[in-house]
Amino acid sequence: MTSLDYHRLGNFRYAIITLVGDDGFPFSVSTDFKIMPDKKIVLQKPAQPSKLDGKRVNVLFNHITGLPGGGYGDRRYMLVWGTTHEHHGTLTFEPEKVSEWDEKILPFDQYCAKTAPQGAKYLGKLQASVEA
Amino acid sequence: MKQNPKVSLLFSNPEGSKVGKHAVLVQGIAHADDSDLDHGWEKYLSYWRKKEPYIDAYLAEREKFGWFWKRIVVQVEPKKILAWKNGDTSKSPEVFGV
Repeated sequence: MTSLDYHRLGNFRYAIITLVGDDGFPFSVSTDFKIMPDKKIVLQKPAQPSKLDGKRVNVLFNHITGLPGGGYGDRRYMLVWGTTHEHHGTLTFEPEKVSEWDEKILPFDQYCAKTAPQGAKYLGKLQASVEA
Repeated sequence: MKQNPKVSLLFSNPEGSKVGKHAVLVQGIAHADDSDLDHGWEKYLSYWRKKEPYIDAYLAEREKFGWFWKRIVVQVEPKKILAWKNGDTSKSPEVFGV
């Protein structure tokens, strides 16, 4: 998997679990989390969805700070794909793949420039599927 | 999104949602309008400016940021809304619109 920086991950205050529900709609729910000394990510189990064992999910960790004059600063996120496991009432998250942005590391305009090829590649694949 | 328009929007961060600590999930059908990438979004600029006033600095140099100003407008028709009072997701949400 892509390297996950657990130190920076620990600076986020909460997590958002997202998976596709039985009705086909994405279901997102925010919850608390903690990182154990052995780097296991433990999520506080939300009331819904009731079944999360073995589910393929993405977990978003994000942060913004409202600016006095409007708008936001200190924008950053880590979007982590993986699998959730339930064991004796504890919900753990096994990360597999991560994408992230932190504007203090990579300013917004540079981030856009860096990810433009990735966006073009995605749109190219999308176009092919639309035309098929 | 045109192939699979089922989407959801989660408002859970008080910094952005301005609804206190409450969390609200809106599930709905997305209607994507990509008929005019350059100008289709302009009617919503006043809302954008209210949220991010510094957007005018980018707008003043619109030619420099051509990629930034190509926008698809997505409208979401709510089908189901789930709300967690005080953001307490350890409890079941109130559900509207089932």
